[in-house]
Amino acid sequence: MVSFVRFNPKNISTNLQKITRLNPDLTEELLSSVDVPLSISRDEEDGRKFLICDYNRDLDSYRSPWSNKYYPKLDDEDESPFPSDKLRQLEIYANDSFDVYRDLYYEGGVSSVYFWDQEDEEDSTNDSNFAGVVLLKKSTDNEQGSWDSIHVLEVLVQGSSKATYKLTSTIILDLSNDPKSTSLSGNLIRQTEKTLPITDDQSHIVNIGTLVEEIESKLRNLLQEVYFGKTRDIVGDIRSLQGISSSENDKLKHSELVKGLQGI
Amino acid sequence: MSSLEQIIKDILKDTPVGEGIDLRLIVDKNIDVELTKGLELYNLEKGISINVDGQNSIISKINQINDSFINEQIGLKFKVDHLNSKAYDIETIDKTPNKWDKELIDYLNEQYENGEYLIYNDKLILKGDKSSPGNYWTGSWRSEYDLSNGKGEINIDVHYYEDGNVRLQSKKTSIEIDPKNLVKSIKKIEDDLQISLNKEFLKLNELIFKQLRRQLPITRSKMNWGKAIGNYKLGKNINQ
Repeated sequence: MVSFVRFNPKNISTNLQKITRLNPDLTEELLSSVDVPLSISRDEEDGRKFLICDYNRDLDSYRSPWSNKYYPKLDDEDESPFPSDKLRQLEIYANDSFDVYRDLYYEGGVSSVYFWDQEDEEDSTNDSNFAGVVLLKKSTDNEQGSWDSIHVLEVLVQGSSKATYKLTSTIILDLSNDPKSTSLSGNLIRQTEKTLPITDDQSHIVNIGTLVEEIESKLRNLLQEVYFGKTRDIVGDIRSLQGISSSENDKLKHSELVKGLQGI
Repeated sequence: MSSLEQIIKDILKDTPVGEGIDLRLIVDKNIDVELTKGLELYNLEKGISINVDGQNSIISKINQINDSFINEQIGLKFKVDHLNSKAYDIETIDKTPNKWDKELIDYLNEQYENGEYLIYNDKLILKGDKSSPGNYWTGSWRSEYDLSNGKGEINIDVHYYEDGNVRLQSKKTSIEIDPKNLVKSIKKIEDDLQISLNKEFLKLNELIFKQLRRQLPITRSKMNWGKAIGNYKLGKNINQ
């Protein structure tokens, strides 16, 4: 199998289009395994912006988490997928909660949460399982930076007191300097699974929210380390700024120092 | 040019040095002709090294004469099978020493990992690269200079792919060196560029990255999830 990580993350959308032109059979696999930056649409009824992805799409329209309607408007929405009434109530609560989260951490940007019902394969009387996606996007005004968070999640409810949460989190981060001569682009992915107590449906949002907050904080640290530390160190590995003989001298001095200390 | 050939060229051009993608694995028909052309473009643009009778030689537009490559430093002329990265029709030619050979070799040994250079017809390429699959990264540095007018260009490309896919690309054009004082002026320019790149990282971190997502909310405490969310007042809500 071809390793998709070799495709340049900076131009990931156009690269994916090209690969699917080479082999259309790969389209599905690529769409499900490679995340691309999110696009923004506007809810005509509510006026607010929302994020679009494959999970809220039907034909060429996308369901807004605010009005629960598809845009551009569909002739007949009855055939389109919607969460059950009960899950929609939870989705509304999730969107309100993540709107606060977005404001606290991103001070701008757009957030959207989508849920869909999931059957319990082992117990057909259990109708509490669901899946969803939490999306957050922020770009700087000068377009030098953009951040996309995509948390795809599955909630498996066990009895009335606990649930297992499985999350696959991707953060896509693109940065470039002013003349655009230097760019840092890409994504980091992390999978998380945790079983937590629940008391009612709203507990799911507390649990998902707490998990997303924790994962994003960790990934933010990791992104900072990789983008600004790791890549700089690799450049330094290819081209030694201080010179290889002087860094070898340093190593020699260091080992002599260690020997000296051991002798004390 | 067929659209297939163009797509293959576009995809290959974008891949990191040392991490070619065998597109034959994803296309259901024979694409050897198109792939060969795509790989030729990739190899010459990135100035990759080919093993010629046990010695490494950079191949590039600067040392390509018709369908052969000339390397006066090692005294060989050869053709390249781009699909299999192999040299063939290898002929011995006179070695032509260049007055900068020794200084360049010393400079590369001192400064670069796997450093190599090529001079032909007043054009110079020097490069270093390293691949560390165990640590999930590859990186390359390639400088090209015109010794007749001192103009140059530097390309840096780093790929890090542990639990993700991160790419640093930096291209510096309109560089000027002093051909009379070649290696010293190259060292100065390249040191300065590396230092300014390190500053660039700091700037992107401080000025751009920090604008995207805060480490903690302005209140310095984590969010209070659950019923208490009604107590938060939305501040800068650009959605409205």
